[in-house]
Amino acid sequence: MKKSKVGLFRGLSALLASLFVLSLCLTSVATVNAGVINRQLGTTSFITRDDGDPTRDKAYFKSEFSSVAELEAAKHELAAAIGSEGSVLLKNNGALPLQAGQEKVTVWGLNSLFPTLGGLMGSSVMAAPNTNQKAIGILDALGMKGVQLNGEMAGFYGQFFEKVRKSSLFGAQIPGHSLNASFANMYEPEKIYQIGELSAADYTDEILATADDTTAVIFLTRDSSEAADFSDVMTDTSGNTYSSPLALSEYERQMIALAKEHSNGKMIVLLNTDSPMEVEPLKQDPDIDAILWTGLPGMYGFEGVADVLVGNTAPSGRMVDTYAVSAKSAPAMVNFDIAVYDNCSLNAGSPLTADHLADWYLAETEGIYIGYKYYETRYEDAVLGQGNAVSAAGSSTGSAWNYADEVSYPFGYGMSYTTFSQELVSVDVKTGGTSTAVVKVTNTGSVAGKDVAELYVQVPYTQGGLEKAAIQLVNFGKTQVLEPGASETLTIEFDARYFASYDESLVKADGTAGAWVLDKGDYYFTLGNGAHEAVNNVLAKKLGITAQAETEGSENAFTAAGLVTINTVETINPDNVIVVALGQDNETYSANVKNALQDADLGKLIPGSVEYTTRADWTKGWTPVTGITATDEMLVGLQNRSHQLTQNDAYKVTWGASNGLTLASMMEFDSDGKYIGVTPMDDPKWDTLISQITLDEAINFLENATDEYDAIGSIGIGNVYMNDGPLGFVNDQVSGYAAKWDASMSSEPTYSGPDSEYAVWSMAEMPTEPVVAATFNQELVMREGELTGEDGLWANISGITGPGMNLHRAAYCARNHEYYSEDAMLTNRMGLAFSVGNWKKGTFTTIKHFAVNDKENNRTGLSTFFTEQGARENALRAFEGPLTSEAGNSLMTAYNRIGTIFSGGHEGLMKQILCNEWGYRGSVVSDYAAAGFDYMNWLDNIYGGGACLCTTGSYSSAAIGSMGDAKNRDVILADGTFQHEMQDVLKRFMYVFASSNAMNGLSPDTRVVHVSPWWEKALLGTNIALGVLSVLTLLGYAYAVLKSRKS
Amino acid sequence: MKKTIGFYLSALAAVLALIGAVLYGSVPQTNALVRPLLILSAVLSVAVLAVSTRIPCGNLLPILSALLCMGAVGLSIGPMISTVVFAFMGMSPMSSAQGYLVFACVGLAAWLISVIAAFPGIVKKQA
Repeated sequence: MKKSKVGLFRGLSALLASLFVLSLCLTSVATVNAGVINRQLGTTSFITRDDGDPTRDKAYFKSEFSSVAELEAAKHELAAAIGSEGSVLLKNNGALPLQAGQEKVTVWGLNSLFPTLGGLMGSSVMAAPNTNQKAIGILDALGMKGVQLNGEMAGFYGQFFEKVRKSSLFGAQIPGHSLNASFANMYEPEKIYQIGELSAADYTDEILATADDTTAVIFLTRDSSEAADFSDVMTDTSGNTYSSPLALSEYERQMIALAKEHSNGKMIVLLNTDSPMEVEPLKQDPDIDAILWTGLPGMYGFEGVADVLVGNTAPSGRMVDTYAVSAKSAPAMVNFDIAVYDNCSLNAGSPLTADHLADWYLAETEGIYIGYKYYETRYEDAVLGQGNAVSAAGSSTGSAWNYADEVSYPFGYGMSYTTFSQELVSVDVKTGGTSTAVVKVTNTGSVAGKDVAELYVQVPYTQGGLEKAAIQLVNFGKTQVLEPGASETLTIEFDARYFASYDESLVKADGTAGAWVLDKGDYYFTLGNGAHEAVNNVLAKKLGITAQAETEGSENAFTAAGLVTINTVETINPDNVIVVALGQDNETYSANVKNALQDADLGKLIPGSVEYTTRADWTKGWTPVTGITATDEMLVGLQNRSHQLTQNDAYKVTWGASNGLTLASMMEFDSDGKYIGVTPMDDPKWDTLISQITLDEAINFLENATDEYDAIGSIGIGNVYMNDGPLGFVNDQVSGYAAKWDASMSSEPTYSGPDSEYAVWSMAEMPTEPVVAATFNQELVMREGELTGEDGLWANISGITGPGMNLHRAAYCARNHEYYSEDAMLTNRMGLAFSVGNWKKGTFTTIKHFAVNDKENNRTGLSTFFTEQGARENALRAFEGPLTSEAGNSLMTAYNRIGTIFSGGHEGLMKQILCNEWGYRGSVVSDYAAAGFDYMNWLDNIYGGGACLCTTGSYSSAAIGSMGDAKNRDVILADGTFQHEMQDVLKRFMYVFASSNAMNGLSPDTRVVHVSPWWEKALLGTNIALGVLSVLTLLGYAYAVLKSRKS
Repeated sequence: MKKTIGFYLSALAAVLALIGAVLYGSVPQTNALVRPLLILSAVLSVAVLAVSTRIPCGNLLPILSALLCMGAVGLSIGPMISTVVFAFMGMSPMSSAQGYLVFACVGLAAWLISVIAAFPGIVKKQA
């Protein structure tokens, strides 16, 4: 053999053998990430086989629809209805409704071409390309309702596509957005935010002339996104300027000025935003006739908005947030900027490293005073002359604090085309039971419409005592459509636990500190078109000003007492207040309760480091918390190890037993074979079932949840799918109704195959949560839950990650669109209604993000500090509604830390409050943990109560390693307590699955079979081919060498 | 025995492997085997090249070097896959993956040069 052959074989050996090594490595990566790959490619690694009775009805959860087409039609109709009922009329000098067909309308604003419909990522709203699905914008919607539009202006804007704001996401440019989602942590805030409007100079005389004698509809918008926040340092690189990203920009002011010049004098502003814009200039501008808040209304919500604009429906929405004159005037904004520990990883010699993801903290120094609870409480104290309320501290004008200078539109406020009277007929408070209020609502105007009855309470407050808000929403009701002159009596149920105050210092009879208290005194119940009207009613009552005195004194009695009204339709009616006297009660709502979040109170961790907002002295709480050095106690959590495995045999745990049960064995049927529910969780049969699961299966399930819970063959359960929401299953992650089905399931009645017209249809179509909440209509929200559950049935998905139940704590949090409101009770009621509707259809509602996920920038690993009273009365109260109900049986933890410990690993939150106090026994999963998120490690998570991990095997590269690593596996097997926790987590998940639509198609005879998807086969084939070729070339090389030596 | 172009290429590959090992220190998510493999490749190369004219099987060096470099690059993918995907999707800044991408390029260059060096071998009149 010639020498060149030796070289050739040697070179080929090097090439092929190393490619073989690469192929093996890639196969390993693919195996770890099989769930993600399957999701992206629409493949599966498991299928089910059933050798039982083929005639058995295995559709335990049935659809009310006969096709996806019917379901989609119902969703479209509901989304439009929510868009309509969720629109809030803030101002109207008679310009609305439009006279469709009689007046021509110019819609102003480049952003009207691409309105913001939802957020980015979990709440992205995008019609599926190359299908009949179409997102409806404001121009489409107005056209559909017969409004004559100035088409030249729309065409003019069409020439400026390059100036349309766009965000980059998943490699695509998304118009209608300009916030950029970023998973990466940062030390400097995002600096660029494009408003996306044209300057006055861009408009030509010709195009402006087309707007003359038309009604001006001015379209203002701010977008929203997961993993993004607004900041004060943001600027618009197009030349536009603004004082704050939520304030009117220079180009928007120029556009409004042009519209004034070129219109028939009728000016209507639409606010397409879920972030509270600073609209005081519009409110005060006499040339602006009407303002309608539309929020981000999803794929079809603008149709409902247009119904309101043309008068097909009278508006009945109410504000879900306080619209402050300055978005930065709330105490919650004091510490919203990025803050890092003095001993963060950037400093040489720091005990923290970049791997800890622990450099950042957020100090929530506002205590209980979020949103209206701040503005209205300070207002009451200003009226009553207490607590230095009128000091300049925190004033947005720099002079004495004055409510009228601070608030444009209060929480709960909204107008209609008609008028209503509301009478609080009675209030019956039953502590420990269900309380009721009866409200009579009468349409006193000339147009049919719905009205909202908002029930508020003021609880007794002692100056300098336990912090209490001056007014709190208790619950609410909504009428049906009332014709002029018609009345409806609403009975509003409420629970006194939701206006109890949390006293951290109260020591109970059992010696533990912390209790829910109802202080002795007068409880003022009232109604109000917003929180401000409610507090005014209470103040008038307390000050002894009667409605009669007001009339006789021609409004001087109220104003003389210092009461302020800021909107034309506001009234003050002390007769609509019912006072209920209650005795001291520290016990009724304090069973199992004790302080559990003291380690999240920075003031207790580092005395003197924080000044909290307090009613006792409103001059306090305005200093940003800086210069924090993490103490040794804090470093334990910050360094990601709050728990340790120990060698113990506290529990005897069995894995991989052969007991012959399947998950379907836990379903119960009546004598007719009809499904009636699931074996109770405390039945020992569950332990028998769980002991069949092998340790490997358990580790895989607990560590690799992602959006797809892997099949567990030993108990006969296939893949269970849960996808991101909350506006519906988001198309980024589940590309249509067919994505999660495989052909083996084609006999199921709701099967949607790849040939279906809706195979790749986007299911995320609903309006964003603030719009949903603005309806103040719990029936409508329950229906939204039902239709999302229907999507689950038709898309073979058993759980949705949503709704978001965090609060709109700060105006600059750009993820507020995934949460309902600044108010805990509105959030509580809406989340419960959605969960109940969803659960009816067998889809579990994975409520997120538990808890205090109040900032998106640096959310991964962010230390969040707060007072326990503040968290319990706001952030946690919001979650409490669904999580204490049967329907709220799935939960997602938050990225942030509670104090310094990861939320899912914080026993005070996850075990004491969630389980011991609320009695929660559902499943818990973490938010998505990418590689390097060691702080969300499996050890702290499972021991701390955070349960299952939404990861893609990221721990194989983390300091802690995978649970399956030999070193960890051995230690786990020695820790009986930890294994017991693992099995408890599995039991809770399996109970939820067994109660869900995941059981459709399964029976006790079902087996789960592993199959290789095509990509797995392709990788195997590649490995074999490269392996064989490597061996052959190496043999060839050896042969060539021998031949060469012989010759 | 005479040195070939492969000798010098192997020397270059060794240097690149060493640089790769240094660069890997700035990668946020790592596999513990990657650095040892690269250092082993570099050390082995230096040792073999130093005595290449006196030992009978020095020409096996490029094959071993290629395997070690590719092993290192292959093992480095798993820990960084999410970060790289996020960066390319625009969900993380490219800077979060930049260090890794530079390392991967250097590692792949070391591998490729080793493969090229394998064809001529490092010395003539040898296997």
